[in-house]
Amino acid sequence: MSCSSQHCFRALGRVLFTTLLAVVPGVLEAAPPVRLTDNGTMKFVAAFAGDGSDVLFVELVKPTLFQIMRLKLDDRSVEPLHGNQTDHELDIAVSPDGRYYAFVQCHGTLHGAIEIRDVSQKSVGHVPAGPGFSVYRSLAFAPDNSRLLFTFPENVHRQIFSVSLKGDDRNQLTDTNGINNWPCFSPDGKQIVFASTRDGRYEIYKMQADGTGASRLTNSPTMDLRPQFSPSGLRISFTSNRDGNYEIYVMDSDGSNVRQVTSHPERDDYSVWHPGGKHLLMVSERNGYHDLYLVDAPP
Amino acid sequence: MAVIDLGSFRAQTCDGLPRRSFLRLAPSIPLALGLGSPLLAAQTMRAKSVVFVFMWGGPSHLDTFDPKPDAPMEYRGPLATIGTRTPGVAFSELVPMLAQRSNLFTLIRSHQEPAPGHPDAGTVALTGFEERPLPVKPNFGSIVAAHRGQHGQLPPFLSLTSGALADSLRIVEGYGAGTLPKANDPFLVGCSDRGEVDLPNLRLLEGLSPGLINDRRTLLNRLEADLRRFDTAGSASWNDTYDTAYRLLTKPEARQAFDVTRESPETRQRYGQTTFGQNALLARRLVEAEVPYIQLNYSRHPEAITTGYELGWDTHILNFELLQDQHCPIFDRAFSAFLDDIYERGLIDDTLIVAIGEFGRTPKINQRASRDHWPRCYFSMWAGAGIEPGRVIGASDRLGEDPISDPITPLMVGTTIAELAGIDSLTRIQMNVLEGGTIIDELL
Repeated sequence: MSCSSQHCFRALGRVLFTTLLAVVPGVLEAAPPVRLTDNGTMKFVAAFAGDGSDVLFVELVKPTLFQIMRLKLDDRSVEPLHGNQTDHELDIAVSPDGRYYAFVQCHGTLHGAIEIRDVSQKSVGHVPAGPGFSVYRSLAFAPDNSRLLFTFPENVHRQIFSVSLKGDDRNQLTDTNGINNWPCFSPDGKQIVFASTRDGRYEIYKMQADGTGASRLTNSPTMDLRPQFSPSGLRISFTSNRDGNYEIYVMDSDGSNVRQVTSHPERDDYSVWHPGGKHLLMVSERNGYHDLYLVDAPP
Repeated sequence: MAVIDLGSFRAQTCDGLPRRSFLRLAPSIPLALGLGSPLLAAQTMRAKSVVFVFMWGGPSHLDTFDPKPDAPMEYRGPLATIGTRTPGVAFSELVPMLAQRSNLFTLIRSHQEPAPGHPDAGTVALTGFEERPLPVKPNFGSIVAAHRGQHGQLPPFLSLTSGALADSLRIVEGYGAGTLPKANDPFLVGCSDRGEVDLPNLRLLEGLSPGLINDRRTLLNRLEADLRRFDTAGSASWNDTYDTAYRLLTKPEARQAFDVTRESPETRQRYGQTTFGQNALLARRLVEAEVPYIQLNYSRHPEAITTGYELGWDTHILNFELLQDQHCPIFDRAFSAFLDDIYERGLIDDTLIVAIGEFGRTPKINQRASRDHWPRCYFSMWAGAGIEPGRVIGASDRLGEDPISDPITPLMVGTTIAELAGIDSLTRIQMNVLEGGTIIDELL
């Protein structure tokens, strides 16, 4: 995450990513997903960094440790983002302009705080864990870096909150029954898409950035999870097990025109958009191995 | 004695015996108690091998195998239910593979146990009795081991784990032989998600790595050198228990049984590249090797998110997230593959499979949108050894708070296991184990 020139870094990222797609036959023609990692270890939340040249993701590196790893797409090398950590790192989010990232760092027993850092890994903000068992989850930056979203359970239900990048000025955005989780800002910062069980099951909803005006976008008898706005704001990717198995779907931002992106008897999950908007990164299980894959996004 | 972690030489005694004292005492125990001669063989043995799948931490029954779709939301939670191969029976949507295999096992939904916390409840789950009053009773596996004795090169009781079962405070006292001779303690074996063998009991040598274990010649040299070192130090009597375990690695039969990398890639993939998945595959290999009792632990520790601890089913926080992200996909795949494998290889009639945690979780969702311990009601799964599959025995009430049929206790679990392993009531009396236990009639 260190770079002397953000613009140079991002330009290089674009070149490298384009090169990656070009050298892998068929990627541009909506071919099978391209496997980006090969160790097969369980992986979870992922985010593009460096304008698409790097991928940060959470991996269960050993039975006792979740760790954030950095994949460099140019040479496919993978290394821990923070070196040899002994504490769990559960989530990762990168600001759209690549200047900041945030993650959940756990200490002791069932205690997870939010750490907000700049691209050089210098701390800019911190949200301490609450009293007792307390772990924040599901981080997301506002496009203008004014706010960071997260979720936290209070009084039985999980709600969506935001803080400044210093970690203060906490603001509660949802106040409903059930679980509200996986928030994501629209590219213009005016809306937030998220999943909620307020109506009984996990469905995708959209609300204004201040938490008002929530409307439901999906209606599935099973789980619809982890929505992500596309860079254009016109589409939303999400995970659903509506066909009996976790698959990636894309719909228009009003909930219409749902298209199934993956169809495999094993799990596809944790989709995120490449900054170019034409590809989705996901964690897929294939033959029991969990790896990062790139897949074409439907138009 | 807390745990025979001889491998790293960190053995400690709760009663103040120094480590060296134990090493001198250990060889005399089996002889004094006649362990070399198995007790009476029962006439009703159906299971050559028992696989006890321990879902350490206490999985939520409502979010897995006993969902309550008609309960209020603060009880039923956010998950949908899905149909199974058993008419009229639904599971949570988090276990779709096992839902498609409900015809391969019988589910019990009416378990109940007395201990509220992990170490205590762990002991109850493994022994049938609470830790206090002392003495701690023997693990079901130790009872089977004492009854069968050791035949061949493999120990009769293997616990698949990276170390002694414990939570963040202390070990589970019911891990081992209890009132039976220490020779009936479990021998600890584990393998990584890569299939690398790990033998926690044998971490005597600093740097004894899985790679070294796989290099027989190098290992032998290290063992010989180490034995000489201890002989020189005055521990010449150090042989039976320790030495048997220690030298196990050099026996081709044992080494072969432990080596999951001998399996085809397709077989290994079926189980998933996870620690539990590969240990489940190891369990199947040990069934083929006719090991009498295999305790397949989901994790070494129960905790959900604790620094330095393996992740178990103890989801006081992030219950729905951890079940969905990790535990249920891992378990669903690995246990399904294990059942398929045991059936396909024709091992099911001679194998008893029991999957169970130490308790369930609170039906009412807690303040942290998760679930806490719930000893009053939980589930188990049984397969093999002649048990008719595809049934549900017992039921919980509409909120999943209590059984509405007669509660089934851990002592009944252990007694039923013993019965199917050929340890009948007379033998149990002779062994002075499982006192007062009754079998689960509906299963048999």
